[in-house]
Amino acid sequence: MSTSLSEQDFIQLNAYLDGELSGREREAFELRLANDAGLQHELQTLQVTVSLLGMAERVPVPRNFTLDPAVYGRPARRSGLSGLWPVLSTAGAALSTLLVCVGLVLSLTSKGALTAPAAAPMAEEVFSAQATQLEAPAAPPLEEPAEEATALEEAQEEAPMAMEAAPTEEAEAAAAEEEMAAEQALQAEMAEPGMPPTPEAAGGGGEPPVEEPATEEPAADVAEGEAVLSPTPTPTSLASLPPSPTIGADDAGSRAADEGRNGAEVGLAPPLPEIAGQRAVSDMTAQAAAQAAAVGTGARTPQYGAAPLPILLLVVGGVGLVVSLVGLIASRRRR
Amino acid sequence: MDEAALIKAAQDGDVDSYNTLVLHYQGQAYNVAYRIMGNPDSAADATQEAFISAYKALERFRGGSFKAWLLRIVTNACYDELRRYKRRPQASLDVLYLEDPAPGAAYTGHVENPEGYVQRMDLQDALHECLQGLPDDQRAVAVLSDVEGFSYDEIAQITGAALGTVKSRLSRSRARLRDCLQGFQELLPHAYRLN
Repeated sequence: MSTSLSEQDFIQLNAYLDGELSGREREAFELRLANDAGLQHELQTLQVTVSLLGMAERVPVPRNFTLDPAVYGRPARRSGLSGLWPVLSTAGAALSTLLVCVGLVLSLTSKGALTAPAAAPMAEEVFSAQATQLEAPAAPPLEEPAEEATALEEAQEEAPMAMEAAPTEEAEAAAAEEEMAAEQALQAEMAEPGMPPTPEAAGGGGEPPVEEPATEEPAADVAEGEAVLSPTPTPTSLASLPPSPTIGADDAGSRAADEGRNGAEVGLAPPLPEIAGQRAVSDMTAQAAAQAAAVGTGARTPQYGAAPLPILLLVVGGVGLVVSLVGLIASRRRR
Repeated sequence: MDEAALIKAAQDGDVDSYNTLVLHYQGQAYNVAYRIMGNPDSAADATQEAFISAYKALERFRGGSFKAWLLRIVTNACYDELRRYKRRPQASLDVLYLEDPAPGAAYTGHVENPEGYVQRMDLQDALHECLQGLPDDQRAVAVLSDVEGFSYDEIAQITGAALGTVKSRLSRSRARLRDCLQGFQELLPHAYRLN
């Protein structure tokens, strides 16, 4: 017996003997075998050993190893619902997981919506502040349309969503006109206790304002804010709406149109002291509109009604998931 | 025998179909178990246990060689039995073997002379002893390769070992068997004496 061969050589020798070498490996090994007498001897003894092992006689089985049908017999397992149980359990688990995910997403979304109640009252506060300031003496109304146009532009920039509701430029012009007329009427009312009317207002004519319901032709920006904040007009809100004046409406409207066209120039001009106050009011109006729009159309609606839905989905999904997993484990154990 | 149909029927709970498979493979399964275990009773226990386990695990059979799958269960059952014996060494496998000679070595007086029978018996005893002297994992590979004639790939599949491991185990087992059989030179047929 030669012990000069390494383990790797012996492995290769066995593989050669068993025909497990590839063509190239076999050729290389045969070349080596032809020049190595020790390797030839090892191959010969290995062949004898394998041949001897092949002489091991097969032994007859002492008995049959068949299974007793009475003990191991079982009904066809794929009949009826029993075969579907794992499938149903898996489907239930998947559905429950989906419910949990939807619940989580809804709960995360409703977290954002839950901030809406804070924003909505803020918008209402802004509107009431605006209403309070409107009661104070205001700037000449002739400057109003331009300022409103500027405010609207700012609102457009700040809250594009708000302007989506404003249909056309015509509606904006009409709204600006309406707003301006309303403020004129308001100033006229304020002037009654003793405040002298502004020259522009006086120049516009001495006729008293005709009180018309503002709801007939609602101003776009105000109507938008109102539509978001109070969908159903209450008597209070109707009363708070300024009446549509007829005095100087044409004049103011034409000026508003002119100044609206030259809005950029007007916007760049230094504001008069009287206009500054009015600008503040207009800014606040625009901000309120923007905030109201930011609250979103419909964003307020699910804030209280939909809050339990994610929780309900989470609970139902969680329970379903647990039940399905228990079912799966039980069916596996039953097998 | 339509093996695939029998397997399918057995998977659906048909014990008779499974028993057909058992009758077909029980000879090879028992012989593998006998060579690994070293005594007929332990081999019978391991074989029976393997067929029961295979029936219970039949749902997990996903095609391929049913014989290789079954023999893997048989070899695992043998390893389990061997572990049990090693935990209770009072029942020595050697003693069991000596008390119960190889069942295949029965004297067939009408076809061979007594001298031939004795020679055959001596060779079987030598092979058996040398095989039993191997470590369990090497013995299983040697039996599957040189007694049952499986290829390296099939052995890897049956034992669950890597191909390289199979080659290594087979190489070592043959070296040991060669050395062991040299100790029985005078008992071996003249043509098979190792020099």
